[in-house]
Amino acid sequence: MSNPETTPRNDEPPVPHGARGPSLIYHPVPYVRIFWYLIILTALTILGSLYRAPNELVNVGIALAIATAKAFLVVRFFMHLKFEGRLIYTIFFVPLSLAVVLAVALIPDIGLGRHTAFNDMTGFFEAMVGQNGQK
Amino acid sequence: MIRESERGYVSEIAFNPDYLPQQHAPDPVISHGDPTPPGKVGIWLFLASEIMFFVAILGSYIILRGGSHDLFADQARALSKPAAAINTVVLIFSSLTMALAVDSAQKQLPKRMAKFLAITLLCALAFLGVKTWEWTGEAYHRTIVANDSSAGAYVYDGHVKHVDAAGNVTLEGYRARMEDYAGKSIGFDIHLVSEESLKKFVEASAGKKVAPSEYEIRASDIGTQINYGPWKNIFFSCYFTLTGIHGLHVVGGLIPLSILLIQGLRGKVFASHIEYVGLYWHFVDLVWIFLFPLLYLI
Repeated sequence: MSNPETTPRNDEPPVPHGARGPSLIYHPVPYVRIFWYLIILTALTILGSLYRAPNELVNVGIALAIATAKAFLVVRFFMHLKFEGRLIYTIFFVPLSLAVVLAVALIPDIGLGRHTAFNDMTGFFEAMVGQNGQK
Repeated sequence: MIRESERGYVSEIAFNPDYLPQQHAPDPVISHGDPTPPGKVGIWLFLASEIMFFVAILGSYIILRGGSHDLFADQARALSKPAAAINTVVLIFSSLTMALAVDSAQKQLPKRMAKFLAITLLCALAFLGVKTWEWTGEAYHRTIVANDSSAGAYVYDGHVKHVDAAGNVTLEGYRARMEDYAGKSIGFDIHLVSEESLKKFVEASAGKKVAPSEYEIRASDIGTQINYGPWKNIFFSCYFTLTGIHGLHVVGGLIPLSILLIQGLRGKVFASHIEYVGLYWHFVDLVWIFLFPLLYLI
């Protein structure tokens, strides 16, 4: 059965200007192969977590790099971004870039050394009690 | 307000799966000449707002984790990695079946589409089942400070096996004398105790590996107690917020998936709608791809 939304009617061109047809154009994608890539990357994530680098940033970096590779496969092939036009790319990448800016903008909160988390506060109070006791 | 003269037109759009917009107008104004259909632009805009939403929460999580690294690493050990790994595979598999359902819809194959939608739906239910099992396990995980008049005060952490009518608790886990564990430190806080930290302490004291034991704690001896909920500490607040919001998105996906499955079983194929629901579903998978390592593995 032909797809009614991509079938030309009367004397209209096959894809009329502004029509809804192109979204339903069939794109062959090797879905099962992409699935296996995702499973292999998941296994790599788990294996990667068994290795603990002394620097926490390295551990987070490895985990995020593999997750980003998986996200790339899902967005490009499962979500068909590969076949989309400039409009969808813009809608997707502009907020994504802003979101990354947002996440990076929060880093100075730790980077500048203002550790106000609870376990640090405990040590801080204990040090205070020690000082008062000496007085 | 719909005018009487427009009623037929509206019902044709709303209820006719074979509706052809070109028959009425090529709508160049709506799409501004871009061939992308408005529905697709809509769902991508929705996903863009979702990206901002999740990055804001994930960004906060990363910052909080950076500030209390030891606490997060210690508390995260209470989570079940195998359960999360199974859920990851289930969700990736559901993404595959959803993509195949979209593929079938584009080829106008209702039976094949319904089959893949049904598998996607079952995967979503399986994911929620595993998550519920995980959350139940955490609800039954308790930290208890109990004062036995003869043996002194103890801090316990482990899984509650049984609570009788009188409130006496049977717990499987570890315990340490308060005096040894916390000393005279004012820093002792029941919220910060974990089974892992208690285990490390007990093993360091014994100088060997120690298996968890079963303890009977009388209700009258219990001083304070707390279970592993969002109130336990900042790690569990983040964990329940992130997995809870993601779980709600899975539940939200069940509704359109069920509707499209029922329509598919009736032989109807809404190719555009399935594509949009598919985009949403892949996004739910995408979020979990980041949550899995960030919460369970690092």
